[in-house]
Amino acid sequence: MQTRNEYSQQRILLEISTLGAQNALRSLSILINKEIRVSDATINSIHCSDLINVFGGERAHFISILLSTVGESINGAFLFLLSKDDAKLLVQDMFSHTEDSVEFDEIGQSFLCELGNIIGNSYINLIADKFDSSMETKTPEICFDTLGSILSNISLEYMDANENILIMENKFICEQLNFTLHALFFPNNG
Amino acid sequence: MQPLFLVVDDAIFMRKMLLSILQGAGFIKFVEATNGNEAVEMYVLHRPDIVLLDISMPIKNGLEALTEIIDINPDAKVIMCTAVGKSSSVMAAIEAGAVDFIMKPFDRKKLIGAIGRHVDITENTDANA
Repeated sequence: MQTRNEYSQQRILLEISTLGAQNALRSLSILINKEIRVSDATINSIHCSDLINVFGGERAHFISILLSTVGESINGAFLFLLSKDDAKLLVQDMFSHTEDSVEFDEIGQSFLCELGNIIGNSYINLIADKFDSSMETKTPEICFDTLGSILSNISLEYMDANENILIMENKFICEQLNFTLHALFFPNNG
Repeated sequence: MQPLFLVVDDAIFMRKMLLSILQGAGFIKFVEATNGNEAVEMYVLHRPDIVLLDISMPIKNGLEALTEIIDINPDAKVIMCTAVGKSSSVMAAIEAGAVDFIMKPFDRKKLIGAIGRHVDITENTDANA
C-alpha cells in the first residue's frame, strides 16, 4: 500500500510528466514546423534490472540521447530513447529523405540530438520553475546502438543496482507519423 | 547596409535552422562556427555586427567564448542561445556582456525582435514583416 508521501511524490511526477510533455510539444512543433499532438503522458517506476525486458531486449536498436543535469533541486541524467524505426521515419519525414537515402546522415543525427536536447530541456525548465531553482545541462550525447550497449555505458556513472528508474512515456502524433519517446531519469546519488 | 552575422552552434541542424530564419527575414551575410574556439577566431577575422552564440558547446563553451569576444571588443553585440531558461549561465552571460538571450527552439518573431533591438534592421523590409 502506498504511503501518503509516496502518493504525493507520484502526483508531482505525473504533473511534471504531463506538463513537461506539453512544453516539449510546443518546442517540438516549433522545431519541426508542424502541428503535433501528444497523447496522455504515462509515468512508471521500474527496477533497473527490468529495463532491458521492458524495452524489447538487449538486442533492440535505439537512438539514445543523454542529457546530464546539475542543479539545486535535481542532479542526474535524462536518457531519451527513440526506437531506430521511429527515428528513421522522423528523419525521413523531416528532410524528405527516401528509404534509399543514407539512414542517419550528419544533419539527421544533429536533428535527433537537438530533439533530445530541446525535449529534455522542456522538462528541466519545468522542474526549475516548479522548484524555483537554477539548472545547468551538459552538451547532449547521442548514441546509435543496441539497448544493452546503451544501458551498460550509462550504468557505470548513473545506475545503482538496487535502484528504481523513473520512466516517462509520451506518444507524439504528427500528421501521418506517430512516434514514442521514452524519457528515463537516473538520479545521481554520488 | 546588411549586418554580418556570426552563427555559432555545434549542431549543424541548429545552424541551418538559424540561417533559414535569418534568410527568410531578408538577411544575407553570415559566417559560421562550430565551437567557442572557432567563434573567437571568426570574430577576430570578420568582426561581425552580431553574434548568435550557443551556450552549451564542446571544446570551448559559449560563456568562455563570450568572455574572449568581449575582451577583444567590449561593444560586441552577442546574443546567447540556450535551451535552458532558468540557468545561471544565462545570468553569467548577461553579466559578462551579452546583450540578450533567446530560447531554443527559435521562435522567428522573438529571434528577429532580439536582433532588431541591437542592430539597425530598418532596411531589411522582410525582417520587419
